[in-house]
Amino acid sequence: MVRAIERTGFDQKDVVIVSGIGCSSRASGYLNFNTLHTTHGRALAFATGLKMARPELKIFVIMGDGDCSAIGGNHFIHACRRNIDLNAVIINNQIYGMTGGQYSPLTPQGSKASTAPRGTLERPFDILKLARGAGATFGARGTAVQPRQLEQLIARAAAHKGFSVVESLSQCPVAYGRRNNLGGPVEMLKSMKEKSISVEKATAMDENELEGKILTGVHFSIEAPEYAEEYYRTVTAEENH
Amino acid sequence: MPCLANKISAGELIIYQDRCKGCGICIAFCPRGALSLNDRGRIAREVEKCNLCGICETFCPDFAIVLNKGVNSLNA
Amino acid sequence: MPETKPILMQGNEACAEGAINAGVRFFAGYPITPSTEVAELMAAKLPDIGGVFMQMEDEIASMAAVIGASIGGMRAITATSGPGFSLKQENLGFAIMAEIPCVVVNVQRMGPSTGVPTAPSQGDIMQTRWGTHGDHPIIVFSPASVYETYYLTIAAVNLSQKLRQPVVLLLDEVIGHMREKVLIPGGGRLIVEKASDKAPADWKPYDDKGVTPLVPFGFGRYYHVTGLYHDQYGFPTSDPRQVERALDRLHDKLKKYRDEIVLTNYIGHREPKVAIVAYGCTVRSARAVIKKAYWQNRLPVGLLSLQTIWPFPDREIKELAEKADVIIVPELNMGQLVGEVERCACGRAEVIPLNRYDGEMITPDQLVEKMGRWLS
Repeated sequence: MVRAIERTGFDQKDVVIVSGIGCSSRASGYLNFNTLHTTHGRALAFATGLKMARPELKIFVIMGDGDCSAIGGNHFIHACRRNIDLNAVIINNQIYGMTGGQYSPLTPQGSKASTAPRGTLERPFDILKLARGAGATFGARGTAVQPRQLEQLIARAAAHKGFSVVESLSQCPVAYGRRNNLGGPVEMLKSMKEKSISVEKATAMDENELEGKILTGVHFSIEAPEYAEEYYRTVTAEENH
Repeated sequence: MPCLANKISAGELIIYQDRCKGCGICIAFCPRGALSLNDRGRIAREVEKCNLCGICETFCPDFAIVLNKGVNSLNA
Repeated sequence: MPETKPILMQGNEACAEGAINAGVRFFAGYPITPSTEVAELMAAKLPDIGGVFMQMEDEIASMAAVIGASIGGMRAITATSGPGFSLKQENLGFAIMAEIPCVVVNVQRMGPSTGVPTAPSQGDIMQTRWGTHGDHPIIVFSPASVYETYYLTIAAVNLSQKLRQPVVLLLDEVIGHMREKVLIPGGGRLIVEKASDKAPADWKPYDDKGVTPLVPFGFGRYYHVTGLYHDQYGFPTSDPRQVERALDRLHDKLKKYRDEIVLTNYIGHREPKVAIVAYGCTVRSARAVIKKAYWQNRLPVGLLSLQTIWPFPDREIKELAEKADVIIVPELNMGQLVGEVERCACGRAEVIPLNRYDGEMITPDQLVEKMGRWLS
């Protein structure tokens, strides 16, 4: 995240990190920017208000998989729909880690979790398809095992004007790996690497070849009017706020 | 703000022993196999094998390894 | 706004107008009877003065957006009713803990649940005090007229900024929807200068020495805002000593400015035998009784109307109880603030509740009938 921001060349005072609640979202407390650690699931709604008040700010919204797609789902689809210029970085470790390993809407079906001792029944979202369907104009996926690529994807998201989503798959060896005997951090990262394939290469593969694969890279990038800019452009009266 | 406890500076690669929890990620993904755990379960580097590519820095989840490229680079 | 020409204004409109004239430039809300007019008026007025109107996906998001905008340096307000107010509680608690100024308008309707959306009620009193979890402080104003709505909105916005303390403005359907002739001084809108950084070099967002105005995000003052207990720069702490001190800090803010916060109004006999303690729309019925019983018939009756209900006006009730033999507390609920009145009267006067919860207002006759026993 920090290296991606460094790539963008943004001025430190313009960068804001907003985060929700969960392991991922503690990040805002360690970063030397203006940082806002909100309530569970609501980071995007807080960030929307902040962006509308100060459209020049470069706002990164760090969320966990459950934080963003479960309790935060409603705010996520509406932030996408508005296409407001926020950079949503979803750290997807496929589990509620902080609370000890409950399954989330992005936990692979059949996984064991503290609240799914016999394996989860539910099919997870494909968060990028959800984002695109809801109106987001930039979507990319990276993994913790390809940090350089992830940096570039976050930097590209930041450069994109409109609502950008970067899903960053990461490992949770303690809560998710242990219960699903996926080994320690190294094994989990190695298996993540084996399953990863770039979006470009994936186009040459058919349905069942793609089964269980992690498609990394930019999934979509569309130019469309950005909410805050449109709002202020259509505000007729002279600026005195 | 970051603590600068006993960092061992081996050439340009700075290893913060107290931040390393011995997860082994850097060892596994170091292309030259230049890293290993010392007797206290912390990271140690074999200087001759290391080419300062910095992959370990990008992989380390705890900023326990920092590649100090040039004079002006940020040494946390 | 025209010079001091009297104009006919709705309660909800007085709220929107007051907010704008107090420098509010951000509104986020969600449609809900009987407060929607506030949102509609804000949608019409804010863009013309460079302000931001956001209709969010729900009340939780509205509360969050208001806090975000406030951190961005814009004075911000939201308006809702019971069901939406229930949804806003968690984020309201966040704003209290993070000391982010904002105003939440709750135009009460008959509850619980969907209730009677178009009927007045005063059933959210305890929710405004304890709706969000934990020992949090809160300021709650309760206007009894369109005129008071205008002024208490301005007071709420300014006090919220000064103390960095969220303020709840509690109306009810009657006050919100009624229209009344109102004299609003001219001079128009408060000119709001752009958010800026006028703080000293050693500024701390959560200074032990006292409340410091918030330097908004974007000025290179790096600090953290969180709902976790935090140190002077906003970074999380769970150290017991700092936690206790932080909570005391939140409450001390209100204690220090108590007299600026607790607003009440007394009319009637200086030494009343029978007194009425009322707030919100019920004050109107009580005033009608006082006009007749005291101003005309010189009976020893008085009315203490509470413009501030939290922090509760304990001193004012204690003083009244020392004079009056009987205090009648009319409420459009099954009895909520009457408990506080009883606590502060502590036996010096007999406290009699007068409750109505059928969606209609308490009438002057009901009050007269209740008071009659002690006056004949």
